[in-house]
Amino acid sequence: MMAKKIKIALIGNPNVGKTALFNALTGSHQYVANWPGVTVEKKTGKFSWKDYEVDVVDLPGIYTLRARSIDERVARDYLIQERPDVVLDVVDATNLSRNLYLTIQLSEMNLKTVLILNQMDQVENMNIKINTSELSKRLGIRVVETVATKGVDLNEIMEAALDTSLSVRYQIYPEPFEKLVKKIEEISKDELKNNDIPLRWLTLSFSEGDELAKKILEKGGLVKEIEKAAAASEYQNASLVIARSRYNFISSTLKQVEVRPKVSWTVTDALDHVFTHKILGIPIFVSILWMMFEFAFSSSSPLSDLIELGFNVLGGYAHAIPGWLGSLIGNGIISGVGSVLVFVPLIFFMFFAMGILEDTGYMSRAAFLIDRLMHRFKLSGKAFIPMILGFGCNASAIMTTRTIESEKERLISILINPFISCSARLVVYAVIAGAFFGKFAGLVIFSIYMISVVFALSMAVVFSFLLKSRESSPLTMELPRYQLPTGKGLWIYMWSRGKHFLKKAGGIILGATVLVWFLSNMPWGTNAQNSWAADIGKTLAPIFAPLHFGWHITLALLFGGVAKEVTVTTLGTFAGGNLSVFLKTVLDPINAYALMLFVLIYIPCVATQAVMHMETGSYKWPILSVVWSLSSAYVIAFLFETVGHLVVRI
Amino acid sequence: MIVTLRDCPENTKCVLVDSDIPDSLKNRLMGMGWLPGKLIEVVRRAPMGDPTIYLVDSTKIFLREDESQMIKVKPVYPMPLAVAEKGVYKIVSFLGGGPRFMERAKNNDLSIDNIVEVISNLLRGKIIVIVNGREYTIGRGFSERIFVEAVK
Repeated sequence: MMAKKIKIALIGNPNVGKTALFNALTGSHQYVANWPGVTVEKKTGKFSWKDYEVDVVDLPGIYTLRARSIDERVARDYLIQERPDVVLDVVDATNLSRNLYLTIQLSEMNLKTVLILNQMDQVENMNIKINTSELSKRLGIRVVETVATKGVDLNEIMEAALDTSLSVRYQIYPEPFEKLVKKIEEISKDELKNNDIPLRWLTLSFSEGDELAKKILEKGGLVKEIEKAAAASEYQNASLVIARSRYNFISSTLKQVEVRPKVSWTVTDALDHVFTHKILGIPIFVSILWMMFEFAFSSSSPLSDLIELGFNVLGGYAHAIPGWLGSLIGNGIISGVGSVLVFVPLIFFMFFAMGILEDTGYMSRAAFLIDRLMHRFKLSGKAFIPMILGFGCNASAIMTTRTIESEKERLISILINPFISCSARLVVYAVIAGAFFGKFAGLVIFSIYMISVVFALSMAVVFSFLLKSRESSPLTMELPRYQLPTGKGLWIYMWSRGKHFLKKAGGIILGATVLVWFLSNMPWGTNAQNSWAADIGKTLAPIFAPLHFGWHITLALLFGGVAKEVTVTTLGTFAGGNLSVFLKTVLDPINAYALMLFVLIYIPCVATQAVMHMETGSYKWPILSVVWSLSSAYVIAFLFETVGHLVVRI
Repeated sequence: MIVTLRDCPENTKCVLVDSDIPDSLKNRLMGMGWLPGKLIEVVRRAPMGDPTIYLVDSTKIFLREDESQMIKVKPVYPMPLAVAEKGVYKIVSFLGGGPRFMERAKNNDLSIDNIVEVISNLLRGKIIVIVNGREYTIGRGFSERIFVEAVK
């Protein structure tokens, strides 16, 4: 029997648990967190149920169908253009009155909707009573209760999705307005009959002043006629009437189906009292960041030492293998890639700490605390989240700039993100600082991070001046309820983000390391000094001579442009087993710090450049970013060295 | 008195009146349940004075000064003296009440159940009131912590 195909889309307000439901339905492990705007692009998955083959699409969260930022447009355009067979409207069941607004809009789009009351465990906690069958009857759609983070009943959802017995017939607007809507539908019917656009949505959106609806009607040459019809009625600007009618309908419905206890002081209120406190808020924020680093460094170091020991032993065995193979494995792969893999625990623990930050709901509070400061740097609190995520990986952080409404502000956020020091660069610092600064290594690395933030913010000012960005977009950001992160959630978070690092180590980093090893052994049998690698390095070295970077470093920086970790693996190939001893022969502490500064600022890695291109839709910005960061890295490292060597004579 | 949301200090409860905000922001707010007639509670101002967290329908969102200045509201009783227009009021509660605060309150003849007449309130700077037949000027910060009700 042929499988029947259906297409299901998940839609709902931001941060209600759409991605959690998506994971539960498809068994995938998409990254979820507790702040609005985690999902910025549509994600697709599949599952089969009985003889159905189901395509599931997870869409970014939206409050209304009037889209402004890119992630919202992704969601809205999908609904209009793709017309999924069923829409699962995921709502936060503790906050129906707001969430149902979108539900009404969906039904006006003529989409078959199933209401998913998510977070039912919270509903129970808060002592809210919801009469689900009555709600279903009043809305004319099927309603399913779930706790998506704990798995779902597939049968129940699918049966509801395939049920065609109910149908929606809202007449929620005042009679004269309904008449106007009918009239507009009548006017546009013939002209637009070839389009698949739902007329009721079109006319209502047009009356609300929606740009897209206006554009569609303009294309059909209908705007004049419709405006004439509207002018004849009393509803030239109907957005308020429409919103009010929708809310009236919602509140009259909820009166019948929902009983809420009197609100008391909740845990979230209590936590917010402390975390957003006037005096304590910012110190707490800074200590949380510091704790995050401290936790990642301290708890990973025993594991890292263990891995290092393992590689040393392996290296010993490898060198016993005679000929080029021994050299490739010993000097190339183990000494090179091994020097990066030592930091796998550090990076995973870093992501673990960030996962806690994101899952608890603290992120939006941090954005609240820091917004004023960001404002001074011509950015909004929303731009702050990509910055924090940039500590993990710039490439994925740049994607989250999609939630920023103002186009220029978004561009600025994209351009400054590479200056936020990502976890790949952490590997480089850890090696250099470990070699030169001993027990002050932690402090030195933290100072680089501070410089990274300050530099990124200053660049924001420079870029907003250059791009003449005056407006910073209006900011309406929701503060979600705090929640305890689950072990499973943290694991998924840590794994889904950390695995890129492992993939990179096994792919691009390994490849680049083998290439470097090859170059440093060619022509065959020569020593590194006379190899092709040395030739390349020495040719370029004069450029870096003012910075006192020798040819090893020059070569390492060149290959490091592919992925920052390769800086370390390249040096590892020449180190002959002991990287920190080797580094001390080619750098002094001031050069070393200058090198860290240079690595911090110079060119975004290839993956980041690719994302920049994708997100801005032009080569102009990644190229600008490369040129800009390369020259500022040069200048800053040079200044630091000159001043440093004047102050400290080594 | 109709004031802007920005004028309302923490813990003020007010009703959304109307707003001449740009259409796009207005629509977003409506999508979040901010309609004329809705009760808004001013929850918390950020450490550097901006932005501010507001509570509507059990949803907390934060807005910046620039936006809250465009939103017109009508405070409801008990309201802070800071947003009380000219008229006669009864003090119903103090927010806080450390020894220094109480001392200052006493010096201004302000105590719970006392009657205060607001002579002038420009929504910035000092407020002039009459208590027990004597005129006092009250600082803005102080006035934000005195909650009053109308006298019938």
